[in-house]
Amino acid sequence: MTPSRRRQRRPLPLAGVVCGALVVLGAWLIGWWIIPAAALIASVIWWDRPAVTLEVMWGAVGGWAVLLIIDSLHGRSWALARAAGGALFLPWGLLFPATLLFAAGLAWSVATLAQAACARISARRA
Amino acid sequence: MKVGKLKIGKIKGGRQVGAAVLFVTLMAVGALSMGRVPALGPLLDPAHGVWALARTAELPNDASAVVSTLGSTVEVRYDRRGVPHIFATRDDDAYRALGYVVARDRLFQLWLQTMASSGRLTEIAGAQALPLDREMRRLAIPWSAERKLALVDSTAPETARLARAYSDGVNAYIAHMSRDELPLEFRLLGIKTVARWEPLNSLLLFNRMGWTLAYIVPELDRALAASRVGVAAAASLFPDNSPIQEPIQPNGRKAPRFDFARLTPAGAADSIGSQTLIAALGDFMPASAAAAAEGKEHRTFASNNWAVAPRRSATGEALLAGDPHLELTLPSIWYEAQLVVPGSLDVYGVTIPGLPAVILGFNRDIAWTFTNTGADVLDFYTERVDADSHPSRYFVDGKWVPLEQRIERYRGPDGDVLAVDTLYFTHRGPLRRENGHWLSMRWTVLEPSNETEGFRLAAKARDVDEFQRAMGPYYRSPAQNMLVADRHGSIAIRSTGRFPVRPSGGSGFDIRDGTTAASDWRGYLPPEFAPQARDPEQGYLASANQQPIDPRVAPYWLGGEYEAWRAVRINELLRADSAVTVDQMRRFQTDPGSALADLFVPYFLNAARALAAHHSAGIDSAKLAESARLLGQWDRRYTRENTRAILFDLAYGELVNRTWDELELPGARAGGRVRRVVTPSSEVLAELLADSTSEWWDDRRTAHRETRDEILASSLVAALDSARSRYGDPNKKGWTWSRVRHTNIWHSLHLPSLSALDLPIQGGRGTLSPGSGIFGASWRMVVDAGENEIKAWGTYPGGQSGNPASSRYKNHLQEWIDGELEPLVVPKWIPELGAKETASRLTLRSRE
Repeated sequence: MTPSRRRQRRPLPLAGVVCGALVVLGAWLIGWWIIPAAALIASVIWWDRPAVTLEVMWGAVGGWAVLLIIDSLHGRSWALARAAGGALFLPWGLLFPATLLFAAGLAWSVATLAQAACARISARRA
Repeated sequence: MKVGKLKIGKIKGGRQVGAAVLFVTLMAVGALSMGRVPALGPLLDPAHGVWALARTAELPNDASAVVSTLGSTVEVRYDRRGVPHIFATRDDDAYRALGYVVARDRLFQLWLQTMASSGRLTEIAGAQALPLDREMRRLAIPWSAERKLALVDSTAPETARLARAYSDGVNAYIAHMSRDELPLEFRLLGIKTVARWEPLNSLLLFNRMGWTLAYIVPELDRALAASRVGVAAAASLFPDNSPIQEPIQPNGRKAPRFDFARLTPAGAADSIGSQTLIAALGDFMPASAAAAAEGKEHRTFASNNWAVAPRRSATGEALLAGDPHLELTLPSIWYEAQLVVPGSLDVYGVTIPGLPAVILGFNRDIAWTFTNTGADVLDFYTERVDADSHPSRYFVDGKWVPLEQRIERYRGPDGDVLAVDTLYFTHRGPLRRENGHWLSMRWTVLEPSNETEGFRLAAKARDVDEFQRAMGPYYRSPAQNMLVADRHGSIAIRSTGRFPVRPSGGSGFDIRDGTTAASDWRGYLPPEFAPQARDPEQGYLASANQQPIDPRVAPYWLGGEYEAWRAVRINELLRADSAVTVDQMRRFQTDPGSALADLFVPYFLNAARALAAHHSAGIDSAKLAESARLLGQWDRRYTRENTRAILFDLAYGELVNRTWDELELPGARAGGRVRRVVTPSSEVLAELLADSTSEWWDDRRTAHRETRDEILASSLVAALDSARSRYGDPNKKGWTWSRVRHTNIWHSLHLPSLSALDLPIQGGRGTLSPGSGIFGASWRMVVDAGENEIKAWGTYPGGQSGNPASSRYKNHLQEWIDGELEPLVVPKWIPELGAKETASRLTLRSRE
């Protein structure tokens, strides 16, 4: 199989897209709790996809990244990252990666646990 | 087993365990605050967490808000410097809008200042803040503010209305504020809601300013010195009057007068009287003074103001300059604003967030600025009480009088009570038991007053007389040297505030007997007797925290802490120039010349020359020649690029250490830092320089009896050694002043990332802007009081916004470092502020 054919067969990362969309929309309503909530929803729906944990993780990161981009449209995010990050012992703008890592870790852990739980339930039913 | 494409067996148990651990960990740090680290979830949330502050960092082009108590709509226009120009049709609406815009930019500062002033920092920081809170409450700052509020409410309806209007504005912003706008500091502290603003908070702030500027206890300095060198010597080291006289009220001289006398030699320590006084006053010592005595950061309040009459100005109009020096913070203590009410009010200047007043500034007719008077306005009394543990009465003139009592509870962040104090009050003020002595305190700062009314009326004054009539009856403390210039060409200054008249014309150096009313103050110095001048013959007026009035003509004692060098320098500059321009006024504010260096450097050089002729024990003659050569190259100017100022600075420090060895604490040099019980002023050291044979020059730790020149020479050599070891070769860049002398402007939470640190500034010992450590010019202003139009320039170290993400957080910093000023935009009404000058618009309405 050639690499190009392999790419053609790769399925759309639906879980990630949905998770990201939920994060972008839901964050305005329930704040950071949307990360575990969206990760749970997406990973339960698509629990049987082998890469669902990574999809959900990247979806959550993408969702928060979109929100960060919206914040930075006003042009002051870098100043904020240095100021607020410094107060949290995260110098040199490390607040950006820290924010995304927090979302990634939370989404991945929720998805991993949800997928495992779904698999067990499904196995018992089978 | 195979379910779809997933092979369950391939999901490793380890990954699930790892995921579970990670999940629990992240949920915990996300939802719970841990120690000083707030819950990370809400903090990092890009929709509503700290990132949201990036969206609100800049002012929107257009905004509107409701302030329900407004009488009519108020238009606010922010200019390019971020200064709000408030256009209202009623005075109280203008102050409502001021409260609103101040809260919009400085909400955390408002809140933190109130917590600090009311002694409630433990509610944020827990028990570690207890000493700070106790100092505020035991000094009766909140008690006094409550009494002042009652007085204002009952006797000054106009002030009360204004204070309520200001509070309405602040509270309207708090109510209107979205959760995305909650300032960063609240988020870091885990605080989600902000308490309503009360008029009492403004009075707490006034009192805190009084504590900052007028908590001066010279009796303690003298007692500390006496405990080491005896009463007589202490009195000459801490004299009643400054040895260098260049008073605020001109004394007709064309040069400073050096009232140098021979210092009384050190005698036997006063082990009874002074120790008793120190024991009694120990806890009354201001924390800053205690730190200074230990050789830590020294307070360098160094405010200046001066005005030039039309006949000595290049413009033919009165010019005024002012730069109050205070502890520098980010955000700044000041907030710029203009209030316009047609036919009633048109004032521009700086306000302290939380105070419903423009403190320093100008209107269309006058300009004004202050320096601290520094008089001794605080006395102590020994009291007799009916019970040592829980007294209820005190004894005066043969009668027992009930004590006022007040219970103070200090609460922790969770509302739990950390400590409880019972405070007692006599008719003089707060009463405390210190080391077995019951002492009461009388302090002008705590006396009933209504400064807000003075500022309200002063903002409308049309000439210097009206200004002084406005301030005179109302402004009580902290006493200020109020300089004013008007567009008719008049200039005037008066030390304004309450100055106690003590019994029998006595000084404030003694603790008085509280059991007799004869010890009480006889009243206050009438304003007409206060140090003052108007349109003096010399054509200018200047104050720089020096002794306000020449003691040879003063019929009374003001006491206090004074500094002469800056006054000498500014008088020298003004005398030398008969056509002062606005730009010169600006340059004077950061003038690098130092009268102190002008006096001390020749002594160092002469000593080196004298000792070069003959070998002196312990002094390396080659090094002495080298250090003298290097010091001789100095132009005595503290410019940033100067490479010799550091040598003098170190030599001066060595000289202080070697001269005042009699005042050193035992074992004080162990850690490398010299600690003294107290250090005499540089003016007294200058006085000593004139006496080459004084016993004070002898270093008592050596067998040899040193002379003045030996001490000067050894200080110079030690300075060279120190400079070489710290900064390297004198001909390389390490000695550059800007590399060794810095100002630090800390955020109020002391977070480095929110602060501006290691700022290279021009100025040093004795210059008009000494600016070292954490102190400096908190606001600089120059005003040209033209007959037809007042023009003004100004800047301050920081910016209008308290949001660290805002471009207005510290946008004035560089021009402040460079000593530059910006022209201030002063529109008479909205159309005068053109579109180019308008950065943002805000409309405040009484309803949607």
